[in-house]
Amino acid sequence: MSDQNIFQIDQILLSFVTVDEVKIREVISYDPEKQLLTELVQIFDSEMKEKIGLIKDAYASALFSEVSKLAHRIRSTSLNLGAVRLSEILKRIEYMTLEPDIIRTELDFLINSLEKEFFSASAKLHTFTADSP
Amino acid sequence: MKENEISFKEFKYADYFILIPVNLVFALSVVSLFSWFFTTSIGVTEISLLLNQNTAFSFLLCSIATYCLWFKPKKNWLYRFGKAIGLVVFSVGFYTLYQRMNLFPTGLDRSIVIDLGPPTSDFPGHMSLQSSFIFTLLGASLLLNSYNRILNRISTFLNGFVFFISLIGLTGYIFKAESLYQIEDTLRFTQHSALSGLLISFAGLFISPVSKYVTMLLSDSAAGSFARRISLASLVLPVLFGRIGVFFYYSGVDNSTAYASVAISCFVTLIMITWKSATAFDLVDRDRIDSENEKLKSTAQIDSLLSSSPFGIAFFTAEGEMLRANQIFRRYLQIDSHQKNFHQLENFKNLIGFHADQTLNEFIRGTGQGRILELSIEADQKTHFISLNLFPVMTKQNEFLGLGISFLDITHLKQIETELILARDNAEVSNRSKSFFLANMSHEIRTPIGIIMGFVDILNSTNLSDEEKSNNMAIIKRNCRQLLNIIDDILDISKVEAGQIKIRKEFINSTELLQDLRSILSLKAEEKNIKIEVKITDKIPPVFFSDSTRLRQIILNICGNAIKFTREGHVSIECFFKENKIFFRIQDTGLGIEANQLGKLFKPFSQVDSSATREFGGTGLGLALSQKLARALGGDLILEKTGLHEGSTFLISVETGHIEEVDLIEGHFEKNEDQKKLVESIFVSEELKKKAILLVDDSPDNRLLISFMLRKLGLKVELAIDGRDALQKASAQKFDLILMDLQMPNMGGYEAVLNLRQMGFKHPIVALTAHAMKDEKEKCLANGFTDYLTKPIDRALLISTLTAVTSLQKEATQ
Repeated sequence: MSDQNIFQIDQILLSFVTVDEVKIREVISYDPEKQLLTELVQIFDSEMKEKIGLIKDAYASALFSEVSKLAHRIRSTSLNLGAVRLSEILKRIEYMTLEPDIIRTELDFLINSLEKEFFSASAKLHTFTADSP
Repeated sequence: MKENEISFKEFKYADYFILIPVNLVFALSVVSLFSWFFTTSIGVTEISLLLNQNTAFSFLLCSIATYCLWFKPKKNWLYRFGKAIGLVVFSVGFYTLYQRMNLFPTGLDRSIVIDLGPPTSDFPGHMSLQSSFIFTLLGASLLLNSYNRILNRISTFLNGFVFFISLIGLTGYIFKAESLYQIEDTLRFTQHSALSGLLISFAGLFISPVSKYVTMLLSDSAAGSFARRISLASLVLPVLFGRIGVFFYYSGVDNSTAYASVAISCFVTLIMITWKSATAFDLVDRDRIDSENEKLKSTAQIDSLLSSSPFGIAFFTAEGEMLRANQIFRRYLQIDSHQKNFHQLENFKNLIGFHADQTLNEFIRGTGQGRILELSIEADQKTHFISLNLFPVMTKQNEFLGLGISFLDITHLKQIETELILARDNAEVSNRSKSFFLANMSHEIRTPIGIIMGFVDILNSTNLSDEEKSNNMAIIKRNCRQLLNIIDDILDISKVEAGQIKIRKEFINSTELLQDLRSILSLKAEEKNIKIEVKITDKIPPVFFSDSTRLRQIILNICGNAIKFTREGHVSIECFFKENKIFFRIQDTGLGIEANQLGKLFKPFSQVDSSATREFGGTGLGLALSQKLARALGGDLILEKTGLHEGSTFLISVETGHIEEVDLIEGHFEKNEDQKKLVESIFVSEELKKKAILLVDDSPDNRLLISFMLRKLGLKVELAIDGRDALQKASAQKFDLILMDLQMPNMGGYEAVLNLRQMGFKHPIVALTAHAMKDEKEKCLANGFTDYLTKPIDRALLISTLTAVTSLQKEATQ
């Protein structure tokens, strides 16, 4: 049953794109020189690295409310750059850790997906930045 | 005396005025006759023969007749018997008188009664001239006593005459004045005859009292009491004074002294009578004054009752003269305050439906006790409804005295009644509509649910190809959306009706809107092979300020109907701009609407075709909801033109906000990416650009992105990294607006807002959060935030929110 749920979650997550290019174009429209986008991607990288590490630690220590807060904080960062799949993972972590009955198997899957998804999104974002070809 | 007047009761011993004298005369007569018949056997002397036999017999008859006539109201045969006896008495008296006058002694009486007395006269009967005369008069008096007032007066007069003759005779005996009782040589008017005559005539006066004097003697009033005393005194005192004079005369004093003693007695007596009279009149006057005071009090009580009454009240005589009326009555029936005669009575009669051949009493008493009518009258230049009560004013004896009128202004009650009837009718209509709606809804909701359940079963139970699965899922999704739309409509109309609909205005790109409409509607129209035209018929602003979601909902609703009811032809949307309103004219070549169905077009829960076999489904909410939403957006939705099989034309209008110095667009509307930026920059007002904005967010990317957006638009922005930092900066510098994240380290958004509000910060604070839940927004608004934005921040939404909250702030401070 649990494996089936994880499979379903995975399928749902796959329905979201890694990065929404429309959002990227919107950001570029604010600053066609892409300075803004570059800065935002840099912040994205540093914030995500740091906060994902903290989320993992807090989760390992079963500090679920802390996990929820951290997930919420970086969710808007991911949304700002159209990282919608990453944002969906963070949203699910945020809400599931607030539930009275924590489903560890699903959360394990989501926490483990975070880093992988961050790297995917970051790689994709860098293709749009000023220093990209 | 009228029946309705108050009269004095009869003196309680009045009956004795008849009974005592009649009984005395009866006894005297019986004793005398007894003596005459049995004088030999019982040895009575002449002294016992008080009256001669004829006289005693006549007085006996008189006393019996008086009894009979006194009882006349109770027994009719007694009355006749009394009259018969009266005839006998009259006959005896007149026959005897006739003998005496004509010296014609027949001796008939002696054959009846043996003459045992001394032969003092040659005339039979031993009855004096006075006796025979008084019996003639007494007999006549008894005969004349009747129910006739004039005859009774004559009877009373005859009795009075007898009383006077008898009194003279008796006085003669008291004062030994022979000439007063003996007017012939042989027979005299004996003292017993005089006394009996006096008594029986006195009693006769009271059998049928018609004289005022006699009536007064019988009255229980003060005057009656006084009259009885004075009458008694007038009978007794002269005799007494006369006897005093005689006494002094025979005592040997001189004549002057004797006369003086009589004069002194008269003087003392008259003084006493005068004093008694004055006292009695004083009492009467006091009683009268007390009575008048009581009457005044009673009148004052009635007047205050009338003037303070909410009713109009008046009393009229049977002839229409107004006796009394309060101010309300006069005002409503427009009667002059000094007017005595109710000139409008004729008009009033017409008003109440009075017929000329009826008397007022007949009309009023038509239903037994009076009449209650409801009328409308004109007063104070307004129409008033009154409840009018007409009642007869009657005496205790049921005599009609006049008309009483009271009325109450029931205009207010009538209005309430009308409103209640209207409300009841509306409730019934509403109830019917809702019953229909429930039946319709049941069908509309069940249909997609049935489809969904059917396809879910198919998906679960059969091996389907991926393509089939995809098709089935699409069908399920479409039906889910339809179900969702129905529920949304129901919720929306409930909110609109409850006044809870929230309008969220933002900048709407006209071109994008029209393109979207064309795209959405084309899909639907292609299914029915209908052509869709979207065009700008006049210049429109490139962007306007309204609620995009609601506007799309309205237009799609009307266009959806247009496509639904059009079998062939086209549906066109014409867009134009006029006086800060944008218009969408939607025209179709569909079925059109019959004129008699137009009334229920915009009523919720009603459909033009509500039959069970109707061709087109629907909840009947669309038009009503769209019209309410259009009005909420400052515009309207109207039906411009329709006719059966002629299609319909609807016109939607919504306010655009104040648009100046904007290049309007016309003709084609092709997508232009730069247009949005252009428009947004146009709509960032100069006023907004002057505002100092504090952006509070712990995420550096949010601070960077949002501040970049704002600065790019020319706005001044300061940054704070959390709530504590925001408090410090807000206390050091003036800000016109704060954008505040909710979840931050050190101090979160809710705590910061609480502190800011406590510090006296009255400017708008807009929440920024990644939470998209509805209750989060409500929580924000309840905790001091002015508005709410979700991350990631949309630039257009950000600008429209800032514009909206700053304009609200401006209105509040004005």
